[in-house]
Amino acid sequence: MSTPATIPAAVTTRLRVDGINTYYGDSHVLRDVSLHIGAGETVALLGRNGVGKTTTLKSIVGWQKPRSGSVTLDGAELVGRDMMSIARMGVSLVPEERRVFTNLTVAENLKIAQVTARKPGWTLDHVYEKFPRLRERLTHKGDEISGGEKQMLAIARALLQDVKVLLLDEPTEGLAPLIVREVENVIREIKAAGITTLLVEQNLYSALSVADRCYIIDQGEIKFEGTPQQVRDDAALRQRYLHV
Amino acid sequence: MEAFFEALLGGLVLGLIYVAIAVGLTIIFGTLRLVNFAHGAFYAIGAYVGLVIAQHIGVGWAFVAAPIAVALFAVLLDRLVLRSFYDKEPTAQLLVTFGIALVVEETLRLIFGATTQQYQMPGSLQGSVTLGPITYPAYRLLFAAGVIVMLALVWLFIERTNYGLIVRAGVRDRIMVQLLGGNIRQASTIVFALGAAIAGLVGAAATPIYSIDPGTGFAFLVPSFVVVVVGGLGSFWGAVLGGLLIGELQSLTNLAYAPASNVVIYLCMALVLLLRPQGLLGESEVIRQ
Ligand SMILES: Nc1ncnc2c1ncn2[C@@H]1O[C@H](COP(=O)(O)OP(=O)(O)OP(=O)(O)O)[C@@H](O)[C@H]1O
Ligand SMILES: [Mg+2]
Repeated sequence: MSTPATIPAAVTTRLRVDGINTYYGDSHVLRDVSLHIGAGETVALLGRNGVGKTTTLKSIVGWQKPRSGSVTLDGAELVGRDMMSIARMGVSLVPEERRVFTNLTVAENLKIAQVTARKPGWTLDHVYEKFPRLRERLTHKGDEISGGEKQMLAIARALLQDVKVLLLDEPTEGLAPLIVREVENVIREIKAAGITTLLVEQNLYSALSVADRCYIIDQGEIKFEGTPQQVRDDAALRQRYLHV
Repeated sequence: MEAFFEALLGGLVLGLIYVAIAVGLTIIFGTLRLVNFAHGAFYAIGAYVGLVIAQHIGVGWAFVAAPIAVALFAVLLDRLVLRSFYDKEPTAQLLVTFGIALVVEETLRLIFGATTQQYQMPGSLQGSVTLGPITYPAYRLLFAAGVIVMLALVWLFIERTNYGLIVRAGVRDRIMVQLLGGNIRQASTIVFALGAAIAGLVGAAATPIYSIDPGTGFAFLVPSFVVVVVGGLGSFWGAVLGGLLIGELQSLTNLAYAPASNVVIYLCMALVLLLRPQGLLGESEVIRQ
């Protein structure tokens, strides 16, 4: 029996952003932004300060609603839904500045993610195994832990839920080089666990080292889509859009 | 000496009423960012519902009906009016809740007239108990104990339940709660209804002690705001500390020099604002938008 020639199965698209335009008041910040992430992929969104990276993530999760365009998760439209229901569908944003609840303990910060999850994700034991530092800090308040621990906590909160797409907004920002290394390892673990991830970074080489594909955004427009290798090889591209 | 002890106990009872109202104000402000001038109206409505039920059906039912009626009223108010003012500046909230309070007061005046009213507790609760040098009305002691138990339950709800966890998280960062899939709207409604129910229940339960008239709502609201400012906006224990402090201050000043008993609480507030603007137990933290 001969096996038919198989076409490599196209990765199913998990998240598709299609021509979105997002405004803050009158200021038009995202212009026809389109991108897609396949199931299990790790995709980086790169760009300089203030070009619209965070706004792209906010548009996906319903925090800043696009005026036009579409965002779909496994084919289901997200534009028009509120933040809570998008989160409960499995789109999980770990925002800039982490937004750990500073008036709650580390344990309570983890607990609330479990309480609000539609479906559970990782178990607490699994989280402690991957983030041993958090276990030692359980009774500390959210403002009594280091920046690196806050970042770990913010990521752990997302993983305690059944995440379909993880959106990480500059997870290494403001961290000491040694801690940046730790966060990178965590992101690699997340990738290894098969979790679909959109990673926003200014830290170019950190992002390129984990991403399967990447986009470059500038002035609210997607200017490049390709592989990390292409970005590494193209000095002119980097100079133009990333200034490195 | 006896007069002093009596004033001390009187201050406790009055202070606990302030605590109960202030706790509602504080958790509603913390969760909804709403400065609720209609909160005194919740007390008044509870008191009148309690009065009617106590006189026609029975005192026991008054304690059930008042908090439920007031909670329903509050939820309706929230849905129909207040919801569209959550994102507005504090002045707009102040004006709309103040307006609601006036409408409630005038409506109560229309229905019940302007006279002062009170209902009596059943005979078994009208007695007095001897406490060392003084005898004190049994119901007042029971009332104080009841309010303390109620406040303990509210504290447990906020600190030990999953709903309470969402509420506390929402006090700091409403956006992040939603990003985690938390239902901040539902939590807000529950907190609003809870705060209202507390005021309504205390209003009904306090009527045998403090007679009511349509202006009662404002009469209790104003010192309760002082309590919240003194204790620290948004702080549960601040409301407790501030309430007891203001209640005792008022009661003891009343004993020493009655005409000063109202002025003294504003002096106390001014002092706290000068020395510790965030209130005795308030944190001067940034609240995320
Ligand atoms: N809340 C807001 N109101 C008005 N304008 C905003 C708001 N947030 C962002 N902007 C503007 O929108 C543009 C894109 O901002 P965005 O935060 O998406 O950039 P970013 O790529 O994430 O930048 P950074 O690297 O600094 O995080 C910027 O010009 C910014 O000034
Ligand atoms: Mg950003």
